[in-house]
Amino acid sequence: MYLPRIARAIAENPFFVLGVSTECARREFEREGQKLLAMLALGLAEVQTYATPLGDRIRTPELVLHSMAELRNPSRRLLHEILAALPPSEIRAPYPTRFEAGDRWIEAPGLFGYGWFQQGRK
Amino acid sequence: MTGLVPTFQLLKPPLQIFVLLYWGALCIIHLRNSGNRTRLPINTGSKNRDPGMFTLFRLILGAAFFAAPLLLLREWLGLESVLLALCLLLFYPWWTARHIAIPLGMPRLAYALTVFNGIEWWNDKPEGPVAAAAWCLSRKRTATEQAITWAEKHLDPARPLRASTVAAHAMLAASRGQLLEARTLFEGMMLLDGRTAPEAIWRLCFEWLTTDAAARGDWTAVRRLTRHHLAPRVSTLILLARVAQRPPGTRKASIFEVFLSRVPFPSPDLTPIFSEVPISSQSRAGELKAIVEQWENKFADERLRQHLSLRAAALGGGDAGAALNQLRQLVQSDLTESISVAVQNGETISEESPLLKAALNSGRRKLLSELSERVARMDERRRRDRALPAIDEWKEFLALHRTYSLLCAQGDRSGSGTAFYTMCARLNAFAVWLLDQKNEKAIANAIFRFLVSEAERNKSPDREIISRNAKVSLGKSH
Repeated sequence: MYLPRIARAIAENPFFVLGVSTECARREFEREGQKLLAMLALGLAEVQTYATPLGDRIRTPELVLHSMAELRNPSRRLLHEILAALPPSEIRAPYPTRFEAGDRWIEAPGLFGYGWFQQGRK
Repeated sequence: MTGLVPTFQLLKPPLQIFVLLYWGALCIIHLRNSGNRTRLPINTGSKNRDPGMFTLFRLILGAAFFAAPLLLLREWLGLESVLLALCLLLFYPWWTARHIAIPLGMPRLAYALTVFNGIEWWNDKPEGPVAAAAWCLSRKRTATEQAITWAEKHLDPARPLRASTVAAHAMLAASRGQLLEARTLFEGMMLLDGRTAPEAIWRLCFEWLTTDAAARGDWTAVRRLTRHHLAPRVSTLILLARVAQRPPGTRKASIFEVFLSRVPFPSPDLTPIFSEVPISSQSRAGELKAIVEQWENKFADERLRQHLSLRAAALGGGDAGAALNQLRQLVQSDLTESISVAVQNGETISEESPLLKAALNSGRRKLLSELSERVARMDERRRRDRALPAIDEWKEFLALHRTYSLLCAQGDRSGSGTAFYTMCARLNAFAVWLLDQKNEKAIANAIFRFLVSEAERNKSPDREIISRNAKVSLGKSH
């Protein structure tokens, strides 16, 4: 779990979606975007996902189009450049969950008659 | 009963002594039950059923027990013993419901038996029986919506709210798998007066909450719940309080310990449940501070700013300051949520960092605005004389209480003072309206008691009048 909005901005970062470097020229990301759209339309497996510091994500045509639009705006592009260059340690939030996963007694409600065994409680 | 004495005289002398001892024990049990009225629930204005038929049936059952030993003189001993055992189960209907009907998954029987409960449950029917039936359904993996609706339709929306009403709704939510809703409602029950439900309902509430907290690994909540003044000193809570004291990673009891906790003799050491237990979970406020420092350094990094300025020039547009400001807003917004979670864990957040201070202020403004909106909606309902159903009014108050508590927990004294004066007069007027016009004594009393404690904390001149309202709201002085 990461700072949620920052994490989302990184997971959907246009540079990761389009697979281009932060210093690419406009022509370069436009060409890459069009290529990805065509390959997605053909259903090619190698473009279905893209890599981010938070793990692989699903690539969709809508996301590709949105990413191209974001990079066309210089102000938005600057923000995405900062986010794409962030080290993972600065994305992490100090509250992965409120409680320790290994410290749960999940059978307690079932044992004492207040639910069933292995009932998922978060 | 008329033939009791002649039949008694027909018994042999040793049997007569046995029967006399049995009758003596019955009298002692009866006197003990009659004298144990310290936490007898009070009527909060509900119209209850006529006790005539019910009392007659209990009298017949009582007479059956008195005459039971005389079965020794009769021939059909087997059949009559079975009937006597059934009478015994009916004489202690809650025990039968809790230990037989509910574990066997018979919600209708659980409901019927709970309806048959005695004086302690008199003001809590049908809410108590619905809670029992819903409890039974919540233990089933395959409870159908039809069965849940069957239990729910027994609730009368016109009856004023009591703690047992909240328990019934909470259990219905649990049986639908809506655990968050059930948790919120059970937690909210603790704001009500302890005399607005039988002890069994309070036990249900605390056991549900503590076992749920243990299942989620929230041992801080287990400690808080087991130390609550309304928490019954029952084996489940004692065991969970002890388990909560253990180091992280070992907080599970063996089946043997669970079995021992069920053995019906007083625990040799009941003190842990009420003692102050050191909280072992480490504070994460320091970790939050470290993350904030990283971000502060990034925003103050002159080289990054210069790099962004160069990039802006290369791109032919954009502003380095504006980009960094957008990022600051994103981080601040995320930190506001992290702070809210930390505050709910009882941690204190320092305001040394500008980013943290800005996040705290942003969170406070949001909460204050939410509080103000909630109070305004309540005031609007009062002025239009349009109350929501009792359970919804209660949920509205719970949401307001949560917002106010979060605001106060953020440690800003002047902010909590502002929050108190934002709501005090209108919330007091709202509670008076609920009490006078809608006969919602339990809700009004909970609001008054909440306002009294906050008025004292803020040294409000209105605390005397609110305190008087709290005292008269349940119909008896405290």
